[in-house]
Amino acid sequence: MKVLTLNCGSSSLKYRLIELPLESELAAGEAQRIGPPTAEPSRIMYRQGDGKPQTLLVPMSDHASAFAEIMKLLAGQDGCVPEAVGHRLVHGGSRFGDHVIVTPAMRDDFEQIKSLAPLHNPPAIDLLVACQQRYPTLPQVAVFDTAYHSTIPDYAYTYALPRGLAKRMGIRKYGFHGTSHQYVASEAAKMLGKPLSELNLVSCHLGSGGASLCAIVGGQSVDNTMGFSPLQGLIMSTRCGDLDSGVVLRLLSQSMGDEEAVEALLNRHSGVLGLSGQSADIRDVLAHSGTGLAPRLELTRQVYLWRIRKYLGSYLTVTAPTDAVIFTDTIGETLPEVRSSVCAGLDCFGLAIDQGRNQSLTRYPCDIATDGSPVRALVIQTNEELAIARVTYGLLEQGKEVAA
Amino acid sequence: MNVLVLKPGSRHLGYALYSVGKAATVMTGEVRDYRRGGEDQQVMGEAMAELWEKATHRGAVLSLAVEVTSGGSEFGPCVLADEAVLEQLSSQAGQAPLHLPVVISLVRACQHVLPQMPVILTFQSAFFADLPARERSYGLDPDMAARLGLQRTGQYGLYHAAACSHLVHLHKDEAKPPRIISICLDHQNELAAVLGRRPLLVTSGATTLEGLPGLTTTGEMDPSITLTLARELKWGPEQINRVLTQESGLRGLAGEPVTTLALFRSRANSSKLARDVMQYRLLLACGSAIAAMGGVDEIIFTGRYAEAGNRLGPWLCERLTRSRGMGNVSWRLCAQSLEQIVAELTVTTLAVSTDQAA
Repeated sequence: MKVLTLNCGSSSLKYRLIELPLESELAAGEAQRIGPPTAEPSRIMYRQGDGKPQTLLVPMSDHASAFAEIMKLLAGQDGCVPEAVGHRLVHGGSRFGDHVIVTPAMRDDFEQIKSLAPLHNPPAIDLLVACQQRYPTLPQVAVFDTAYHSTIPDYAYTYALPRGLAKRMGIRKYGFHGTSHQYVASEAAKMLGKPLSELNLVSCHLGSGGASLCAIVGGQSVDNTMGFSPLQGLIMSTRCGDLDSGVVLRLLSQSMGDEEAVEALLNRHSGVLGLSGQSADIRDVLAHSGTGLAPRLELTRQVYLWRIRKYLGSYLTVTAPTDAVIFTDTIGETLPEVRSSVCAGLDCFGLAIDQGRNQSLTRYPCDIATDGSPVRALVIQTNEELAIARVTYGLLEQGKEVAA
Repeated sequence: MNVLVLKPGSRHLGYALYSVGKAATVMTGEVRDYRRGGEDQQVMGEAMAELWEKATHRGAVLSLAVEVTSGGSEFGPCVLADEAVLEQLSSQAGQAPLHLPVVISLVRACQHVLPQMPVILTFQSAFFADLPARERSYGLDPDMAARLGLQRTGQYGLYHAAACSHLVHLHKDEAKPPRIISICLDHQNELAAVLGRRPLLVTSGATTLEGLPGLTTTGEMDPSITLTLARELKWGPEQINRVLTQESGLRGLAGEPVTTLALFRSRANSSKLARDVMQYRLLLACGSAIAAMGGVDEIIFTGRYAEAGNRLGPWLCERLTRSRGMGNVSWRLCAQSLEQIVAELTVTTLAVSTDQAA
């Protein structure tokens, strides 16, 4: 089965066409600068099979038109007509506790979960609906970042609010980045040569935009640093992460009750950008390390690493006895100083990094722990698209079996 | 000789009369509605005069001591309230607008009604004055945070300081200071990671709403929840504040008012979720504290409901020792009451100021 995975950004659309169950990639690309005209033209950067990267300049006013262009592009390539589509959706809320095969009857349900992740859900859901209207016979699956966290126990997902209020408003921890955490956990099981169901892990998905840690016991998610929304937890590129609710109230009062202004401040102008005042990318901040960092950059570096370290300690405790810590995504995979800083002095948890292995890492996946470290430290490249394709294929095959 | 300890709240004035000689609390209570919603010194003066009469029936009073929960950390844990101190505190009123103006009015009322009586101020946040910037700071523009006073600081520094002093004394022969997890169980619950007497981490934030759930305060929560309540329910900041500070925490989870001590003595199924959430949040915070210090030597419970540590201590230690690198972890209780801590600080401060005057 040829599965087309779609991963929506606010002005981009990443896609991959993967043949299942072989897991071979047939085509991949990214539509960029979708929406109103910008300084540079809208384009699709793509490649087919093992071919060279190519660029197609084409106007794309929204994600639906970007998808139509991608389908045209694929139709012109041999053996690249999708047989199913897997959509990545960030937040399924309480309505979607698991991944689903999309049906027209679910349209209202999708509309209702748009506001749960204001940056991510609306464009992805608009695209999903457009796909369904345009290609009604093409099977489509919604793959939720929240689904992997449906195993988080009540004492970890419950906020200490009046129970009636929390229930009425659907307020609980949902957790995010589940597709990535689940993928790297299963890769870790292969590396360690043990069934996933017997492993206790801490997965550190450190992206250049969003980031979260996941506590995994017996292969299942038992906690995630993100919460009701992707705003909670670690310091992220433009998101503040954990923040005293009293501070939010003070900001609300300061803005005369304008919650949209506060939401924009906490989601788009805080985190690494807010702390540094210069860049939303922690790599820019860390690039100045050891060069007499400007005070704000030094503070940004310290706060960013400290927050990861604190949560790492929390989750090493929750998952004890822990088998491995996993580092993944852009920052987790490529920045040895982040890995060494947050793991330094954690022998008390049985975790020790080999600095040589950490610094000289050139191949993935890789184990960078010292030989004697009881807790392993694994660097694994995430592959959310493959994870989405696996889920899509699995659900549709399961559906066929049921129908038979 | 007694010290009258005052705890000015938003509506009621808590008090405790502590006998330094007997090392015992001889009277506790609260003056209800002591400021009738305002900051009028005369109104508070009348309440103080009545309280003073009650207190002096139980013996001579050496000093008044007022517990200050926000601001004033530059004075250290304890200072004699003179005009310069009060002026300095007034300049910080904007950072704790619901608390500091009330404290200042109360002190002035005391000085007016009892002009010969020294008034000592004790500061809960002083212990955290040197909290590292990486722990103190949120993921916000630091200039804005400094302007609005949006920095993490602890709420129960006096309790932690007393508990840690005790442990430092016990470990005085060791080369390194003890790595202490100090857990204060009181109206709010707060955990601090302390290297000897130096705090490295604290769960409370700029206000009492961050960190562990309190008796009625929510504790750590996704910041977008507050915005969701404002957007979806059209609640204003005051209404949200009331729910998050008075109806949440262990009360919200258990469905009825409950103290941490009663909660952990109970085995009622209706309060199981509250116990589980509290235990789990403590475990998470212990993990952070251990990561902050690179290990742990002592866990100590303090605060009004420290005895709940009898249930929580063994559970925490069992969970912590599951880690592959963790040795034995033990726990203990610190039974000092806040009035005892404050009274002892007061006596020391008065002795120093008398020496200096001489």
